[in-house]
Amino acid sequence: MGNGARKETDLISSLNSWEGLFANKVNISLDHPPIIRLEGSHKITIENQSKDPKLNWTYTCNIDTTLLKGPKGPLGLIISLDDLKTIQEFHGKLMQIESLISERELAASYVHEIKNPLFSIRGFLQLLEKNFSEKDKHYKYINIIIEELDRIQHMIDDFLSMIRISRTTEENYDYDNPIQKTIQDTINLFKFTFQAKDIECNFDGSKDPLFVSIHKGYLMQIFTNLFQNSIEAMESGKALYIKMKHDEDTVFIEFKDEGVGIKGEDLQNIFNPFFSTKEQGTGLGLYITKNIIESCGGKISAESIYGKGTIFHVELPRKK
Amino acid sequence: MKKYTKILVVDDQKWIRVMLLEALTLSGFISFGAANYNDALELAYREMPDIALVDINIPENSGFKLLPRLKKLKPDVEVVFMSGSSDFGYKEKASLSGAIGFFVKPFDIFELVTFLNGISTTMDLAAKGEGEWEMEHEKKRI
Repeated sequence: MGNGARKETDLISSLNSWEGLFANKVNISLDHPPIIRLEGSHKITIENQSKDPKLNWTYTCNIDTTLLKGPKGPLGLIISLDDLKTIQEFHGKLMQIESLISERELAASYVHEIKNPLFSIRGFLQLLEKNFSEKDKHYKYINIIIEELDRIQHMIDDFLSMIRISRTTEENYDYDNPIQKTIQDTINLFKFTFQAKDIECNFDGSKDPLFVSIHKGYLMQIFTNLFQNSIEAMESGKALYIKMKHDEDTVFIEFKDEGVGIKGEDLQNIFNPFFSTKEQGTGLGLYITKNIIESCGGKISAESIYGKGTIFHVELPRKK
Repeated sequence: MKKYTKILVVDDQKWIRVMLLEALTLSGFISFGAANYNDALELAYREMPDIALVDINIPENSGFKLLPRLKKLKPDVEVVFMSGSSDFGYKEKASLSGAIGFFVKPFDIFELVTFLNGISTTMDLAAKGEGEWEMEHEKKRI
C-alpha cells in the first residue's frame, strides 16, 4: 500500500458508508452498551467469455462479512473468503475416493469368501487322499488338485494384500514398536518354518530403538515376503542374515540369504508384477513389497550371485 | 487306559465343520461342532471339551469373545483360533488373548491334527497328578 500500511482503525471507520453491504442479518446483543453485529453473505461469480469456448471459465467464491458496531462506531470486521471451486473439486475427489474404497472393500470381502469353499474342498481331498497308497495314480491326481488349490489361495492372498496397501487408515497406525521388535516378531512367526527346514536366522539389530512411519502390519508384510523368498530359495542347513544400520534420516536393513540366487537377466524383473521364477509363484510378492516400501518413501533393491545367494537392501525413512 | 481328548469345533461354514469333525474323528479325537456363539457355549457346557477350535469370524459374536467364556467354564481348556484372514493384528490379538494356536484358512488339516496331538500329550502329562480322578470322572460320564 502506497503510503505505508493503513491502520486498522482507518479501515474500519471508513466503512460507515458501506454498511449496506453487511445488512443481510442484524443481531443486537443484550450487553450494555449493546454491540450490533451486521452480517452479509455474497456469492461472486467471475465468468470469462471468449470466442473460443475452450478458453471460457467461471470462478465462483463466497465472501462472508461480519461487522461489529458499538455506540461509538465500528469495532471490528471479519471477512472470510471461500473458494467454492476448490471446495467443489475437493468434494468431488473425496466422493471418488470414497466410492473407490468401498468398491475395493467389496471386492476384498467377496474374494475373501472364496477361501471358505477352498478350505472345505482342500480338507475333504486330504481325507480322500488317505485312502490311496502313494503309488496309486489317484493319490497323485488328488495331490495335483491340492497343489492347484494352494495356488488359487496364494493368488487370493496376494490380491488381498494388494488391496490392503491402499487401505491405510490412521487409526491402525502403531508407531510405538521399534522396528527391531517388529523384525523379531516376524522371525518368531517363522520359528517353526526355520526349525523344520533347519535354517539359521541371525538378526543383528542396532542397539538404539529405531522407529519408522509405517504401520506394523505392513512392516511385517514386507519382512514376511522377504523371509518367504529367502526360505524358498535355500536348502536346509543354510542361513539368513539380517543386519541393520542407520543414519539421521534412514534405517538401512540388509537381508542376506545363502539361497540359489537370481540370474542376472531375471534380477531386473523381480519387482515387476506377475514376474516369477517359481513354478507356484504368483509374481506379486516382491511387487507388493516394493509398493509398500515406496508408498512410505522408502527404497528396495537387490543384488545376487547366482548359485551363492541374494541380498535385499531396504531403506526406510525414520519417524521424525 | 488312554483318556480321549474332546474337541469342540466352532465354525459357521457347514462343510468346513463337517470336514474338520471328520478329520478329527478319524485321528482319534472325540469331536463335536457348533455353528455359532450360543450353540458353542451350550455344547461346551454339556461336553466340557479339552480343546476348542474356534473360527474368529463366527456370526453374532466374534470368536474372540468365546475364549473367556470357555475358560470360565473350564479353566484348563485350550483354545485354538482359525481365521480366513492372515491379518497380523488378528494373530497378535489371538496370542495375547491366551489362545494356544492360530491357523490361517485354508490350512493342511493333518498339520492341525499334529498340533492338536501335541497339545493333548502336554495336557495328559500335566494332568498326571490328578489323572486317576479324571479317569474315574470320565467313566461315570460315559
